[in-house]
Amino acid sequence: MDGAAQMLDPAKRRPLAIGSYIALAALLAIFAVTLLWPIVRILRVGFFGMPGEHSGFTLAYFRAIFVDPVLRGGLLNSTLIAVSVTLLCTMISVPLALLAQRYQFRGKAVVNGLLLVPLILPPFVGAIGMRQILGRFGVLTAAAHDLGLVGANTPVDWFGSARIVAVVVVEALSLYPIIFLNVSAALANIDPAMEQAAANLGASGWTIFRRITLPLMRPGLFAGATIVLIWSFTELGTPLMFDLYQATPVQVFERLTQVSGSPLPYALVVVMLIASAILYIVGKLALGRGNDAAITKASTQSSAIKLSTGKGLLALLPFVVVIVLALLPHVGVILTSVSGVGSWYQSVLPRVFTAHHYTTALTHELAMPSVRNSVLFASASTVVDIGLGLLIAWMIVRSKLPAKGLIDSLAMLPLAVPGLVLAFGYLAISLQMQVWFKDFRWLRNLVDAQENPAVLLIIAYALRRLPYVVRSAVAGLEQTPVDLELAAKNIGASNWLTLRRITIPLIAANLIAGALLAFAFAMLEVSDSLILAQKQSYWPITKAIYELFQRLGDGVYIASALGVWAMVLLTLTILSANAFLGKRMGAIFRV
Amino acid sequence: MRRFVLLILFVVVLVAPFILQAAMGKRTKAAAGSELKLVILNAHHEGIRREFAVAFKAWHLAKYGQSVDIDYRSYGGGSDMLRYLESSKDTLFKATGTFKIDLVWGGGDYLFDRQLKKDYLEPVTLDPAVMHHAYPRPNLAGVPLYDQAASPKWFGAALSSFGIVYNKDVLRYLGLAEPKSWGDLADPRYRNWIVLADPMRSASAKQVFMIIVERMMLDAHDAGTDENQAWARGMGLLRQIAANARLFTDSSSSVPIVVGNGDVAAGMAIDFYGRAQADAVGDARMGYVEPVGATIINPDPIAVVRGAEHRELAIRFIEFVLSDEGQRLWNVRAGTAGGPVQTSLRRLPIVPAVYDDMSNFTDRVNPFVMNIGFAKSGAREKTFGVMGELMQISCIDLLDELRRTRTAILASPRAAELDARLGTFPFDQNEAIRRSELLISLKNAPAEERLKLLRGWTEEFRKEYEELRAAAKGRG
Amino acid sequence: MTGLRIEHIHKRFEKTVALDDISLEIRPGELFFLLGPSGCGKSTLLRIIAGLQDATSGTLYFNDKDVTHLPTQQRNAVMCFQSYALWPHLSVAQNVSFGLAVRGMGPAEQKARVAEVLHMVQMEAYAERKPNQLSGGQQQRVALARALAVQPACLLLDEPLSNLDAKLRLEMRAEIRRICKTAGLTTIYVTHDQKEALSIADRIAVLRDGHLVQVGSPADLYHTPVNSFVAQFIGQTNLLPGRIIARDAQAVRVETAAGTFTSAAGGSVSDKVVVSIRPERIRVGGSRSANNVTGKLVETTFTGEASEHVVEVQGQRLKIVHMPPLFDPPVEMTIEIDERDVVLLPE
Repeated sequence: MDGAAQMLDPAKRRPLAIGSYIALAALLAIFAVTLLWPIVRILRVGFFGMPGEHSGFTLAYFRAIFVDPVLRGGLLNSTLIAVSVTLLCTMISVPLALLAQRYQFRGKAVVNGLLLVPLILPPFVGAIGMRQILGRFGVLTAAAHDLGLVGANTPVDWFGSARIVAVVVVEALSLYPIIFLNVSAALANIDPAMEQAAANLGASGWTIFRRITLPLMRPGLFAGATIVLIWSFTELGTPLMFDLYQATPVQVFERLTQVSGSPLPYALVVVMLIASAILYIVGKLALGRGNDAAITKASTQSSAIKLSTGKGLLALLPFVVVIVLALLPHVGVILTSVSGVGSWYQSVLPRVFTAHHYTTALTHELAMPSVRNSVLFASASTVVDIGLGLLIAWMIVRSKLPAKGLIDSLAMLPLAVPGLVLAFGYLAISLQMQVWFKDFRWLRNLVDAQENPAVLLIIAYALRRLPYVVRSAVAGLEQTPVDLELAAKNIGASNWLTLRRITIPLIAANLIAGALLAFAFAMLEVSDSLILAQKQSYWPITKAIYELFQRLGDGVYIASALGVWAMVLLTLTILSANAFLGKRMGAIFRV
Repeated sequence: MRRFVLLILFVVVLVAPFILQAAMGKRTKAAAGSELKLVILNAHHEGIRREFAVAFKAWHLAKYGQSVDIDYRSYGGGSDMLRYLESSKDTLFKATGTFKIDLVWGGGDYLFDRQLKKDYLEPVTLDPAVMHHAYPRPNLAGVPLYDQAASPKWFGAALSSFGIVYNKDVLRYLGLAEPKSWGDLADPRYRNWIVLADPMRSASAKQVFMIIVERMMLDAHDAGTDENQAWARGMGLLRQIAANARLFTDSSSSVPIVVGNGDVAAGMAIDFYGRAQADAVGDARMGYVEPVGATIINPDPIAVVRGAEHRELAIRFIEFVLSDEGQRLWNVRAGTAGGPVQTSLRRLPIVPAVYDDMSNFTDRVNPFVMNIGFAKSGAREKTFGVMGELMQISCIDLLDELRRTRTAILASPRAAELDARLGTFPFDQNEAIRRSELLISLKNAPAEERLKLLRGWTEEFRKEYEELRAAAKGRG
Repeated sequence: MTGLRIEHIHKRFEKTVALDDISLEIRPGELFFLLGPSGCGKSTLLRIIAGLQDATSGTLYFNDKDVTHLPTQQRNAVMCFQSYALWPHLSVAQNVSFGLAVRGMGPAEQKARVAEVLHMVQMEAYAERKPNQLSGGQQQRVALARALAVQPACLLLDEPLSNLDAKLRLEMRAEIRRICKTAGLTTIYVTHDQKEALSIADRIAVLRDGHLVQVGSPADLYHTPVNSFVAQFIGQTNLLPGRIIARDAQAVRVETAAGTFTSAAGGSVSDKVVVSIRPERIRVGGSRSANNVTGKLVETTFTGEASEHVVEVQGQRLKIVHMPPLFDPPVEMTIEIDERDVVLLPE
């Protein structure tokens, strides 16, 4: 008996560990191919020049960036945008989060949900409405005219040459939910007894906020702010739509799509990457250092103060103002979709309303296939994300693998890598693999972006949004006592059964919310779609919207109709995710 | 259970379009299993792609009894197509002997003749009857309509010209007359009201800039003055127009859209873009004009790509495009007999015979009779290759400085003299050609060298603008 | 019934040693306690027995079968977690039947067995409730039922009563002993509460800083602790450092700061010792010549069934428990201790 047990030793010793080492190796391989390889290709060009020109290691391109006033200006502008957006987001979110935390009033649940909607309606679609509203003969001008502020047929240049202001405002109005979610989660974690203790010792409201509340919610604030900083620093769509060309992401995009191959944009990407990585690391360090709020558990029930109807309405006001401002561009899209061609001009509302664009969209050979494609790609990438997210989260939270810190960082890295960079990396890899696999037809077709970009798009979508699913699942696991799983194993359940019957049901809310967000973001992913999907029959909805938007005549209206459908769908996803997770949503949007 | 209600709603919205589509009974077929497939790399807008695909499928089915699948590849404009081919050359093409593209279509004759012909196009011999019908004359105003070789490598599929799109409401507000010539756009009252396309990204923007300069040189030639100096004045005019620019867009097709919205007063556009948008928003608001004698008519080609996997079918497509049936699609009003189904394309056919019946035409302009354009000459286009870079270093990168400089000049007592200085490039064509050759010679040098060179040139312009501003303020 | 043998178990976490060379034998059907202050390694040992953690070295036998490397699933050593670890998404009955389903039991048998164990823990009325609808004591019973249902070779209880209030704790500990003995289970019970251990244990192992200090019956530990740690940890005691000044066959004389005492309890062999005197073994009022000292009363506490007094004797404070309570203690009092109650421990 003893002997048999001894003999079984090597195999039986750590069946779990062997499995998890295999999974670890697989994960590392996946990250190496889908994440590191494209980055390395870009780094190589940035430091060694274009392939074929191999001039050896050089920092010349980086010198070139910092010497060139145009590129330097771009970096400066992008930094300015990132910092301003983050500050503006903080100024919008913190007071709202405090209001929602402290007071109970009619309609709070509704505005709390609606407040998140702008997050998944990216400026890319909103830009259609934004042009309509801010145009020289747009809605604002018409409204100003109706109010007698300007004469008839008098255009007003709302942002003029200060387009950077427009970019900051529009980005802030779409990214503030990230900070709002994080701060709300942090506030919910603060034991009310701590503030009560301070009040009991005689501290005034302001002192309590400054000395107790603010320091305790700081980790949440930092976590959200890091994401917003990186996001706005690398955002391509908004400055592009506002014709702000002197911003680093736009300069990268323009120079990458120009004919003459130059290593400069790659070097520029490397600069972006390094800057993002630094922001990311700083954010993580700041988070790691002061994680006090997460440790404390509320010992007393937080009791929101119930407001009277009058005061309740007053508390509601700032929420409504922010929501209306943030959704204004999207309202513009909705109106565009029902406006007669060319009829919304020099007027507050379109002069002719029609449902025609929707029926056109339904039969349009560009519109419907793109809807089908997007649903397909987004669903597939979501499935991939759930699988990988669960595995990675389990490794990070539950396993004792030595490399789990590395896995964690790798899974979060896509947050710091601009989508544009990955998309170009994938295109290059696709070409490379076709050469390698030229004798294996089906393998070649699988990785051929020209023939069928589905696989690459799904990988790109999945990778870009993996961090949210990982964070969501990690939060779920961290909130679930490990004893619940150990109890199942201890009573005889296999690892797989434990996962299926205990772990997954317990973190289902987190998984569903993470999956919904991954799905929503994949549906509206811009950079990968624009670059990877070239064959018309595989265009996702974003590419179709972009193409239609550029089409003369009724293109923009059909694009708007598509945009409206996507907006309704995505609004429902974020509202559902919010309903599933509530305050815990904050855990998803952090580094 | 609010969350489940939301989840159900989510699913309902998700499937709604598919159900509605089925209810309408017009399910669009996904690219289904036709044996024949044609892959076209294309720079046109979606309307052209769709109308030609529909018509060709019908034509092919009628003539050959087979259905065809058309697979358009869209990478953006002409330069993006070139970029794709360039990047595939050393990888895909080297490995497999094909670009997996059958046809390349659209983007202007310069792209085909100068950039694609050598490495990427396949010589094709069409049926002589087709050739004779399509091209009774080999050129129009000195511009070849197809590749002049025994086996041509490209064929003009339509004619294009360039003109000015303008918004009449904005002009009324600015108190400006409708523009008639390129020079009108340099009027300082247009300040911040002009839209231009970035010549580094839009081949057609490059062409229209070249036309403006070329016309100046031709004028000098006619007057017997120095063409090299005229080149500098042409570039200077572009500089003055650029000083009025509110922005440089990245695609020439957005120029008419921005004009139509009233965000700018005028811009330069390809004829059919301008006409199509004026059509959409109404002639009362928007106009399109071609500066008389100052534009060119050039062919927009189609060509078979080297290593095409479906060569036979590709040739049939070209034959269809050059047939009367195909040609009439360009200009017959949508919905009328022989015309497109949905979208009027408003382009000029290249086959002269088609103009015999213009009854259903959207634009009754016959370029073979009217003398819209002037004869181009390769000798005056030597700087075409470097036009994008020249505009970038002098105008786009320094747009703010340029604007401030012109404002300062116009406010100064020496306005006329200084504006004339701004209206003349600091160097002439010979110098530009020298610099262009310098750039070309650096093509294989480390890119750093090129950048250093360009940066140095930008600094020259920056200094020039500083000096002009100083002079305007009475310090120079 | 399963007996356990633990041989030379070591457990190291990075740099700290959690368990240092633990060897134990637990008899079949025994209610065995692991007792010690928090951080002593008792829970780690329990988890190693359960297979939830690996030992760094050493061997573990269930009935002479080496199970050291057997995964937790195959050990049938079922644990009741301190947190109960009831699955919140499953009902009471589903929680209990989980382990049965895992063992491939048919639905009808499962149902019968669930009813049986729920009856055993008196929870049959709550079968369809979710865990969060139950009180702490009820949850504790369900956790116990879940473990009992699968008829484990060995039942492991990790501080099972720590989340309950004092009264419930008293009830439940008797209940646990009843259930374990009825089911004839070998049970290992981890606690830091010596009263719990003394009251129901068959045998107790005392751990401290990863070392096994003493194993024995409750009475052994109480009366003959091997050192001052055990003496102090099991019940209350007065400890006085002392020096042996005389020995004979029956007794030794020890000099302490509070005076000189005679001890007949035996114990330490070296001259330097610690004298342990249980507070309830000190009598008030002197009737004998030996082992009586006089001190001043400095504090009195009334605890209900007894009274506690602190007496200062030559600067040393001694604690006295008097039962029944002494209502009017004199300020100057003489106290005396039986020679058998003066226990000598190594220093």
